Amino acid sequence: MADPMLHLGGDVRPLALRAEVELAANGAGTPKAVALINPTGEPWEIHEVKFSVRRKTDATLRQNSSGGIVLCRMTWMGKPVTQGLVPLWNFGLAKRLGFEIAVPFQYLPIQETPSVFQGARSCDAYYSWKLDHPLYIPPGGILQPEFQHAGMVPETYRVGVLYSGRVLKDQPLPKKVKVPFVSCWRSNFFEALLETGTDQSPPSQLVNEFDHDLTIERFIGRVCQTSSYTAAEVAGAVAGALVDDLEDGLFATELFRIRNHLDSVGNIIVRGYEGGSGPPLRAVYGPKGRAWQQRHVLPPTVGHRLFLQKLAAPAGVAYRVTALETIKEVRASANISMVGWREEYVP
Amino acid sequence: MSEPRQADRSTVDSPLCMAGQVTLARNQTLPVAMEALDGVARNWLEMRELRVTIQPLGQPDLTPSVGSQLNGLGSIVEVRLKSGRNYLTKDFVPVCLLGPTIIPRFEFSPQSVFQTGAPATPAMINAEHYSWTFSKPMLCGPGTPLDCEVRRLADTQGLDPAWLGPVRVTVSLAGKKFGAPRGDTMRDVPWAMHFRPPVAQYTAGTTFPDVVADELTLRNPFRRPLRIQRVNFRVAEGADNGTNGQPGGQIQRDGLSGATAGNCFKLRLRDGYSNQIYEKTNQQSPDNVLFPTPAADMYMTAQMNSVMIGDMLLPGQWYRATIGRYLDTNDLTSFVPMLALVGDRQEPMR
Repeated sequence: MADPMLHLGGDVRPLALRAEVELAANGAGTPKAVALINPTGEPWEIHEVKFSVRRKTDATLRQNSSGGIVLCRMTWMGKPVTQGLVPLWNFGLAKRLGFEIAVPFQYLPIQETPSVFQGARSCDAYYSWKLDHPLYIPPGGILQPEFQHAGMVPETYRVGVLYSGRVLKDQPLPKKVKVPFVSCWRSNFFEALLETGTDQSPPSQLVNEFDHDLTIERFIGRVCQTSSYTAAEVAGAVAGALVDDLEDGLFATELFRIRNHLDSVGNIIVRGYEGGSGPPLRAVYGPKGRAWQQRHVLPPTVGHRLFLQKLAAPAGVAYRVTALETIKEVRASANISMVGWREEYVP
Repeated sequence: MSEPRQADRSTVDSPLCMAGQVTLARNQTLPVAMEALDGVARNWLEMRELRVTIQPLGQPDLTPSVGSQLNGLGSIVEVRLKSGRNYLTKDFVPVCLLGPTIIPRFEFSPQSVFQTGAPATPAMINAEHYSWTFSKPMLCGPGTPLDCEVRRLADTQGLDPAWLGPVRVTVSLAGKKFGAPRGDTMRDVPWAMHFRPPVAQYTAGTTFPDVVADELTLRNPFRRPLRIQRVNFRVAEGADNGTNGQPGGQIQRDGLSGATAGNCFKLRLRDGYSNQIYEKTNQQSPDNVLFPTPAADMYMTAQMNSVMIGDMLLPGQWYRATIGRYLDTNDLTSFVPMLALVGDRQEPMR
């Protein structure tokens, strides 16, 4: 029986390339391009993009989910893969929220003398973007990422990106390639309890900016929530902002409402309720993977317009005050992206 | 390269999410108005997923160590759906039985930074999410009405805590709206039917015989074959659970724990010819019961509460389900098991 691995006319072998960059608060960085180019000079295709985020300084500060803090812009052979900066958690499905936490875990001293392990170490937060179609990378080509720290927390992060795929040896050059595309709208930040307001996505985002069809596979809706403290939660820790999208509490299910979601052709995608409000964010961008999976095609220049409404918190809801911590304020922003692909000629 | 198309509403298919919301008191049934229906009455629709969010209103004052979440309301909130002349559910079906659990954490949400009530006893703001992805997308012709009712059942099995106030239920149906008309004459219609044993609950020290779903409960009531995609099995924890649990209980329930608690169930599924479809014995419950204070809850099986079946029931054929308590180690926990069969059948477009 013929070896199925050879039916493509040459060796097909897996390949993983990784690079890392350090981001200070509000800083930007680009990983070394040479680390993300196939060193053998052969064409290859990327199946999955994996991001990892770790705090540079280990601390006992409690968990946060960093996908809303680190933004990424990508280009393929000079052509856009993202429409501007996109939070890391808006690329792929949220399959396991527990992997999104940069949790410090502590080695406890074992019960013997002398104690062997002490101290704390953060672990990486992981985000995965499984491409809907393999992305062809020609010889010497690169899927170039740039990262940006959004500055919501003062910590420095080490951000890694890993491309996993396979080498295509002796394969004919494809005429057209399905190139992924992600566009994200990040709304204004709203305070949790008392602030009310609206926000809407601009025409320049969530739009097909190409001169040919764009196929959208899904929407991803995340809530970037920051909680700042007035006192240290744990002795010795730094009182700062916690950022996460781990909980579907007030913001996702009560305070953020989709007042309207239309496309620029006039189709009603989500209609608000009579009398002002609309369905909560999580009812639209469903709980499964924080995504609404629905394939549809956007013709050129057609885009989506989202109208977000922020309600005040229900009566009786207050910030938590305990013996260990005093929450000063909670703010949140909706991050809604559309993920898809279009066809391009190989340059 | 695809040619640019003239973009207008007759040529562009678009996603669609219809949502409605109601607030349920105990033993109340209300229709859910899907708000977007007026705007799409002349279009063909393809619906793929039903989502239900349940949010208790007026949180009780629970200390974090014992009341860090209030999940399990999917066992007392039920939904009945109808599209045109076709029902999607056999009467009301508990929301927790419509689909598998993808990630247990999505079914509860202890948001820790907010509180209600007295500051000394911060409570949590919670919402549960359930999702039913149809085994086959359902086509709806222009003007096909969609009826959705939700019910908070009259609880006789101790699942609805006495102190639980109203719950807000949001139902959304997601899919696609076609720009151009279609000419389909048949469509796939989802179907869910369930069995909840009519017993009080399994409690410690008592010996319950096996309970059996008879020939009418899990039967194909249609004149066409019924495809059974999966069986979903859940066990709801009784609200009278007052003494079990560990202070500071964990909230992750992703797997089976050891057999120390010894509360195990068995589930056997056979067809009308006594062919075995599925059998699972020694189905363990977690050994860390999470709710020392009265609350309704469900535990998760390692298979995410669901098993793919991939079978076909001809008209009139049925499954017989047997649920039994496998082992009782005198635990004080009380449980209410329940299961549902989910699939689809074909119906004429009308």
